[in-house]
Amino acid sequence: MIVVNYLASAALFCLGLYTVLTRRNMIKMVMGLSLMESSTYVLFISMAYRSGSTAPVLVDPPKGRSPEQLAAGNVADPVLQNFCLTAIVIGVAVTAVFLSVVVRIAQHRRTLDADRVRELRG
Amino acid sequence: MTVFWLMDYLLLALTLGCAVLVVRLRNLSGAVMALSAVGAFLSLLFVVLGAPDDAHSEIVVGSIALPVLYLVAIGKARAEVRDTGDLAERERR
Repeated sequence: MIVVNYLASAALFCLGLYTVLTRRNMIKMVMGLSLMESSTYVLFISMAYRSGSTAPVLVDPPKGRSPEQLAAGNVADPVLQNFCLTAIVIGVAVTAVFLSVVVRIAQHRRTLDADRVRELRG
Repeated sequence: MTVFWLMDYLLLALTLGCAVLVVRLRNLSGAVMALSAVGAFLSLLFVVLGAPDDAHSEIVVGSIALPVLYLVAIGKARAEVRDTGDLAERERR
């Protein structure tokens, strides 16, 4: 429960959204999407952290602690950390797909400006 | 505990500062380098918050692989490629 980390995650998300909405360079828009993904990583890891906890590597309990104390909250939550790991791997794959689409558009239309690609304009 | 809060605030501030640099920099290569710095500071933050496995994958992916992808994409977008119209795509004039 770290409120400052939640606020920083929200600020990072808003920064990425601002980039996607206001920039016209398509590579900058993909960078904004990457920033929004980073905000989800911060949110997951901050939700997994408990006050004074250590990494959830459970070979042995830390010195002077019993396994029951570990279940009572002396390690971070490993489930949310695994969500974050999955999100990182999916994020890089999705960014690669976005970048390949941007490169295809740039080679076909000879521009990186999103306002000059008007075929799908609604 | 106070060392923990110091590291937490410092790394959050550095991450947000580099994210602002990503948005504000006009130079695309500079923005990519700022994105790489965001990944590096984020992985240090994960170490502080007790997630070393996530820090490992974040520093491999977010700080090395992702900037390489962006730089390759920028280079290919700027390269002169003759569009031979494969997939039967035609430029409408």
